[in-house]
Amino acid sequence: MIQFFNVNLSLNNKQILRHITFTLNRGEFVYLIGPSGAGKSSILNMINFSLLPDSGTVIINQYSSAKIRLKQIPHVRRSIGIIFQDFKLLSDRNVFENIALALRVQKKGRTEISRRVLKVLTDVRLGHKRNQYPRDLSGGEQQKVAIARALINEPFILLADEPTGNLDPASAIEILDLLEEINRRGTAVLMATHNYALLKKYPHRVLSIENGDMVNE
Amino acid sequence: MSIFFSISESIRSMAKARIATFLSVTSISLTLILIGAFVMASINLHHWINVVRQKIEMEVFLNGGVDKKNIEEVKTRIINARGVKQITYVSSEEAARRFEKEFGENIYDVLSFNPFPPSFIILMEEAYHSPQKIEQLKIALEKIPEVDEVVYQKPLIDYIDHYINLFYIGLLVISFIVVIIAVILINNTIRLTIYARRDIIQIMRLVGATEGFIRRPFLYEGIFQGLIGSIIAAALLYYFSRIIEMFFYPDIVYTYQSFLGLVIFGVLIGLCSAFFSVGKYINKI
Repeated sequence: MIQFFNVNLSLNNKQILRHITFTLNRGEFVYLIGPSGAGKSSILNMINFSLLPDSGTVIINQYSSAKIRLKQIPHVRRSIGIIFQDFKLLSDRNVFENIALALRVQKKGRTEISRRVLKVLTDVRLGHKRNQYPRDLSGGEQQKVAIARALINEPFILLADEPTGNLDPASAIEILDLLEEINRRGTAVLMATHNYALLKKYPHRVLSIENGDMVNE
Repeated sequence: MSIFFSISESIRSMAKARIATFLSVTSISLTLILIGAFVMASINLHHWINVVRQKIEMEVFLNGGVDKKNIEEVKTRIINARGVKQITYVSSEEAARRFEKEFGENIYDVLSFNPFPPSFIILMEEAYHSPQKIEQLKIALEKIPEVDEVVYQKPLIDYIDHYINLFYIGLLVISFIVVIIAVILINNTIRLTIYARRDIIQIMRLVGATEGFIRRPFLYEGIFQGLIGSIIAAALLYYFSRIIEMFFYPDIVYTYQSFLGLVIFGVLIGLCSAFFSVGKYINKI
């Protein structure tokens, strides 16, 4: 479960978020909408504790931003998947290695890595492309690889920061279908977007943010 | 598993930043060649000075009227004095013979009497080769009533001591400067590789890597740079020493431990500079 209580955040003397309060329950699919620079990415960064609030509290399962120790943050992040508009894949590694990285940082063994990477690649229907490099894949396929990497640790939530921003409409639909499928399997999804057309096609709860204020829930 | 991953990441990183790595390794090599050459010069100088100091003698002249019984007593007291390694008695007659041998003239022909008092020639223990210790021994021996005068080559000892200290201080200062230069270059290389690898650093953080896990490849990189640079330096210095030994100076002193020490020093330079630059730059990613 994710809870924001009266969260304020400023960066470089600029107020980014003001009095943000919301709750996101296990298994929910929620859109976070608003124009560019509204503070959507900052909210996602606060969920994985890349940013900590100036005041107020962010609670991620049993961890509170007020009490979390730096050493605990990597463990929180292993329970959170995250994908981005620009995919953030490593160009010098193939699909398998890009996904395996998330397990290597946890010092998992070779056999376990192989088994889990192949399973998640099958889930996103890219098993046949495991030896290819990101440059050989379409944008939609690259985003699927990023999703596979985000899912490898079986997170309780998938954070998606404008995941369709770099994709053509057909690929965007394909990615949304995949996110819906992931959500049906029990993983919560929090998707930051300003693609309002998708909201109509896949209606879910919406959190709207403008200039750092939550304008409606 | 984690070690293999960190090592492969550090190799991948060095391959990516080839030019910076090359510069870094070269600077470590040059630094260590310079330091190694200084150390070898110091060892050889120290060895040479020891040889010279071992030959330094102290001459203890006795009063003219000392009889044989007293001479034996004085000899015992000198032998028992701290710092005396070897003692040789030179009678007045023996001194006269030595004068003749050295200057080609009989002292009785020159002065019609023998002015040389009996004396002892002393060689000092190694611990008594410093100017202070020699002076202590001189003062102790002068307290023996039968002793008239104690002389040694004080100016030579003071000269060696003065210039040897200047030489060591000079070497220390130059070594410190070249180590600082090497550390700056390694620091710069690690900064460049951290920048070149900012994507993977960000991704590793997002997927839950600990800071220690993220930093480890850079530390290995520093160790590898230090290791490669120091092995090159040690190998070059070894062959340089062999050439000097074979063609120029057969008595050159070098030990395998000093080459091993150089390699360990190189690895430590690499590790320390990497440790500090990673601590400084990785949080900016």
